[in-house]
Amino acid sequence: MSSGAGQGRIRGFIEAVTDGGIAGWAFREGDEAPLVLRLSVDGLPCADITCDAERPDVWAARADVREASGHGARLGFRAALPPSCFDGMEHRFDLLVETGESAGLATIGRPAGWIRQFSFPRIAVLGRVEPVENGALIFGWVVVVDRLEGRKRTANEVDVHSSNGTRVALTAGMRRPDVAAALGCGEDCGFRFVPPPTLSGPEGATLTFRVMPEDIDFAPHPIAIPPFVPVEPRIEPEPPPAAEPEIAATPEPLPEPAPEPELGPPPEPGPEEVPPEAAAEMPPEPDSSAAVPAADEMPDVAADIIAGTSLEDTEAAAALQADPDDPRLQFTGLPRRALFGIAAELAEKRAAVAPKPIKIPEGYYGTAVEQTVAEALDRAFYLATYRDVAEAGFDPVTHYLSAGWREGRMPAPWFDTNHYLNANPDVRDAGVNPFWHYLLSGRTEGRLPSRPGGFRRDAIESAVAPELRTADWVRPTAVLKLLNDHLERRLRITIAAAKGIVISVSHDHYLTSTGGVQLFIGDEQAAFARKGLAYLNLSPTEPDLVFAGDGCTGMMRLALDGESIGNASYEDLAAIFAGLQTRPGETRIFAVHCLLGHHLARLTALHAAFAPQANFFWLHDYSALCPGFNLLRNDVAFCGAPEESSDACLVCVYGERRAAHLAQLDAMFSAIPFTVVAPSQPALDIWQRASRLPHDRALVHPHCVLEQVSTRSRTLPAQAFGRGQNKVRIAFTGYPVNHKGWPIFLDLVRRTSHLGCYQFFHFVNPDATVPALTTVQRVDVKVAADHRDAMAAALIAHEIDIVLILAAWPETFSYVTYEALAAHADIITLPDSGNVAAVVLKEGRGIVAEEAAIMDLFESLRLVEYVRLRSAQGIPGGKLVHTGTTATLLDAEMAA
Amino acid sequence: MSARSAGRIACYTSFSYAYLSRARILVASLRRHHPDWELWALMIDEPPEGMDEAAALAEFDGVVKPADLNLTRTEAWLFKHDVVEACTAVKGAMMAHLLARGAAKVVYFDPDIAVFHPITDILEKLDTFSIALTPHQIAPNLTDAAVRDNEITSLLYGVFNLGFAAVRNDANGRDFAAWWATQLYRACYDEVASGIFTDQKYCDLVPALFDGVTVIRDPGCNVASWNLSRRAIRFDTQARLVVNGSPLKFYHFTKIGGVGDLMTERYAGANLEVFEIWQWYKRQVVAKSVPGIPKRYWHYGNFADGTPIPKEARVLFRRRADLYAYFDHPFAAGEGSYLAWLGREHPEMLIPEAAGSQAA
Repeated sequence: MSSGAGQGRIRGFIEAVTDGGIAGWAFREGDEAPLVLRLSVDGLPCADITCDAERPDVWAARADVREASGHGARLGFRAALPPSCFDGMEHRFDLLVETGESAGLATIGRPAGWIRQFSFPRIAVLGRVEPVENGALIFGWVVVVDRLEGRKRTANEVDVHSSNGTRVALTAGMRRPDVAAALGCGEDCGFRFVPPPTLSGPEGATLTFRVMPEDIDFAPHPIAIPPFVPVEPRIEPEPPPAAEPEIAATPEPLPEPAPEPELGPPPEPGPEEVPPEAAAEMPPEPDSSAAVPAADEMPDVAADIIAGTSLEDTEAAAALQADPDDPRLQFTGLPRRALFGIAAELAEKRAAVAPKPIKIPEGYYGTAVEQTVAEALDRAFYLATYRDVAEAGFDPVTHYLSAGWREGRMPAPWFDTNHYLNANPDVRDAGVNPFWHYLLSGRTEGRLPSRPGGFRRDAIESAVAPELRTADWVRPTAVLKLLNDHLERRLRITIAAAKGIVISVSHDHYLTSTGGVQLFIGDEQAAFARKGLAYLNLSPTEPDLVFAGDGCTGMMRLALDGESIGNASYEDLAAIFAGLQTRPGETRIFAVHCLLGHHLARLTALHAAFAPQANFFWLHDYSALCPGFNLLRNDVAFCGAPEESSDACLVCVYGERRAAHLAQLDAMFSAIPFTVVAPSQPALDIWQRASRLPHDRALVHPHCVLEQVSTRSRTLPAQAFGRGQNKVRIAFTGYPVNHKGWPIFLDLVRRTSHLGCYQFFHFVNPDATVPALTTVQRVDVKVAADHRDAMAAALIAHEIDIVLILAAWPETFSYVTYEALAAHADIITLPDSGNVAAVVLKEGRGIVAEEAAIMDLFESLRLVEYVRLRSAQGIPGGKLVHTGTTATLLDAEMAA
Repeated sequence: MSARSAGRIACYTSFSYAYLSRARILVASLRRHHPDWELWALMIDEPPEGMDEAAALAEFDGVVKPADLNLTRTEAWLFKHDVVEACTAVKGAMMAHLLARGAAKVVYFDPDIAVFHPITDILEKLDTFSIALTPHQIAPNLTDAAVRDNEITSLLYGVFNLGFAAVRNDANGRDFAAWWATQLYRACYDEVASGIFTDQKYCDLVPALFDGVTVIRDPGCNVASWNLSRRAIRFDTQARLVVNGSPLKFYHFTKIGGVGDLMTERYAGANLEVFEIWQWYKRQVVAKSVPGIPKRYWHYGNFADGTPIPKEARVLFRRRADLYAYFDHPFAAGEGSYLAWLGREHPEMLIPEAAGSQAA
């Protein structure tokens, strides 16, 4: 340290002279003002520097400084060097005090007169490399500073060098306003980089980043990136020579993929080529299973992947095959063991389409990517699922690699291309083939090949409270109501001309809405009319999936004797009926079909004014147990309506409202002595197990019964089913929604189309919007009051063998079940399907099984065997006799 | 607010306002299953402008802030931590504080936990033991990927999950609380390479250092993505949630909406009940949200002038004893502040990180 003139001593230290500037600390003993130093370069003064920056380090370390400094720890300095220094030449720097005397700060601890000379490069590179996701994605920025010119260059070219010797180039031109603001440069200095597999290799690598053409490394240290682990091709045991004589022994190249005639649609014999009477005698024939390559041409699907993704099904199938008495598979009408074992020709067919081990000769596909994908892609599945590919004669591997994955097509049933890209944005951004990525590294990293949970998980994640589900329903902005005088006169005249009147309550206007319950209400009105009773139906003008709150308008649509007459409020009607006292001999009946959308307290008050002699409450659904009227917890699993305080209700979207919902029902049921009517015994059992609502009594009264009039006798010999064009005909009916099992149906179609034994149909209302499917034939059917048998007629016309009713909830009745029975079709359903399963078992008309067991029935072709056996028996059918709901119930009661 | 009485079971959770909705879910679940407990909020934050703090925290019986815990140089000490570190660094001191107030047993839950069934079994164990901890895993994983995601992660971040801890007010319990508080005051950082992970890794030592430790191996406790690989959740015939047959006591909804979603998906697989619970929690977070809290809000996340505090600035502050000694008010801005010092000495630290990063 050297002394200053006159005042206290100058003390300080030059800590650094670098291209970042000159820095240190200095003060004059006892002086309360910061010291000002003058910087000179090569003897020429160029800047004044004030020593007023906090230096807590000096302050903490030096007791002498703490004693001598007159202005605390604010004694540091840092200053940039003038641009002229950055010319690659040596320069001399002096720091002087204001008096002009050399401060001598540079000589601290060194001999007096010592002069330090420095040289700085003209070009400096500022940059940062920021790996995220363990190096799978890299952000960064780089700016080249020409310090002599004072320019900062952006949009630089960068070479990325891998430790494995490979290199790629990129341009750092992405916007980085943050860097621009901090450095005063242009914004186009950033980059975002996904290391391609070539840089990482199978063992991972480290990357360095060099700005070009200066070739200067600007990453502080090499960036590690993860490896791409190649999958070892599975070595299959040599197949028996008899099965694969040539390929196994001689790895000759496969035929050229482009024309690939053997992969195209099979030459299926037309029906005329297989006379029904001859079919049973014919040996097994080539059929659509020829659509897939012969076993020795099939690329191998790695067996461990298949086993891993369909373990549950495989286990279920194994269990079923091992134990014919498995209770998960229920049916009647056939010997129990009839389903366990299939004809030899079906077994051969099944074996022919099963994935077979095969090694693709090396070099058959040009690149490693193609080779890897080719070894795992399920060609049979691909061609069967994507008929356009098959019809165009494309090789599935080539198609998937070039276009299929970008179109979201699945290379195998267990790999969901779209899910993999959505769940792994790094893969998506890298633009690599997702299937290849999974096979190479994704699976060893624990990435999932498909979204677990399937459609049920989608349902869980989209489930919302019932009041929110109707938030976007269009509601009338104004409702015109009938004049009370007019309504009173109309009702008085109608009742006077009748033996009495029925008030029925429903959730929508049965004259304009289509559905089973609405048709039954129409039946009910007609039946009461025949008995001389007038019929007034009430439905809310604002339908809802919950009971109406106190803020509702309380307006209802009125239908009198099958005619819409206008709107009125609960109170208007209550006042009218209070003035229309019951005449002697007049019958008054109150029938509730559904309360959703109604205000229960106001409806109860109307009921009191109406003063009926009989009250009926129909269990068309389970809204008398829960706002979730089909008892599907979070729209996925039958819950059985447990205690409101249960965990199930806590986590369910319907649980929160349930206590209030039941309290409103309890008030109504306490005021009205209902006879509770279920259309089926299973529905009544569920309700009685779970309900605490007071009621008069409870009984079962079905909507319709099947009258057997004939037995189906198909011209087709039983053994012809499943051969050639004589596919087993499978139908799904109704709207394609989750709670009807539409996703299960689609899965079934997807997994079995390539077997060539089944033909799938979808019978649906013409208004329904359904994605077009090449593997499912749509049949429009409109069931209406004057076309009640339209569905049964359509099923018969299309010679449907099996109707799938995959209801996830316990149907209270299921009209389509009866329609299928009438149409000579058997039914396959799930155990929780309520009356569907009950009817199937009672009538001996199909199979009740868990989803996995149903899948196995189809895939194993044992369903074909079942249909053959059933066809040999002859399947009954007939016509449906409608009972007319409450009207016929009265008859039954009176008869009793 | 005042606590109801001493000598009872005191339960606390430590959080910032960004986690208020989660803490409210925890409180509601605790009220349902343990209505007699004292519930304390350890609030490592100050409310956003315009928020009524008393109303926001009204569901708690009491509120404690770091300044109430007799820590030395609280403000400068707090600056050394990011939000996760800060919210965990005070847990030991709070446990000691509640024991000193006379609670018979003290229970800690992370705010992102929800209780589904009473933890009576654990409380009864504390009649015999002094300290109860829950391990991340209680059954070995079976695949390489799962071992990497779970066992190896536990080796790095701690065997026990300190989203839960419970102690009895005896010598062992008090010694543990005091020891934990001391360690956390000295260094409660996310510095895994140094052998430290916030408040959690220290507790690997607890069974060795203290008597009366019970390791809770009930699969119904502290269920989370890190142990789903060996736990299956179902509804039993009484519609109760059970985990490997044991009633679900509490679920740790860690990192929901982020990596927690990914890991839950990976290990829940086809266990749909997990997704039902997970989705329920997401709905609850929305339902319990309090308006007026900006996303990722933390009062201590910025300097006084609003400049986000970069993590490097905190790390530098805690590593440099001179800086920590010199700046009593490191959150301040303006002349003579730590921020001004940073601007001169380390301007690169004030350049925001790459896209997507934020202040710590």
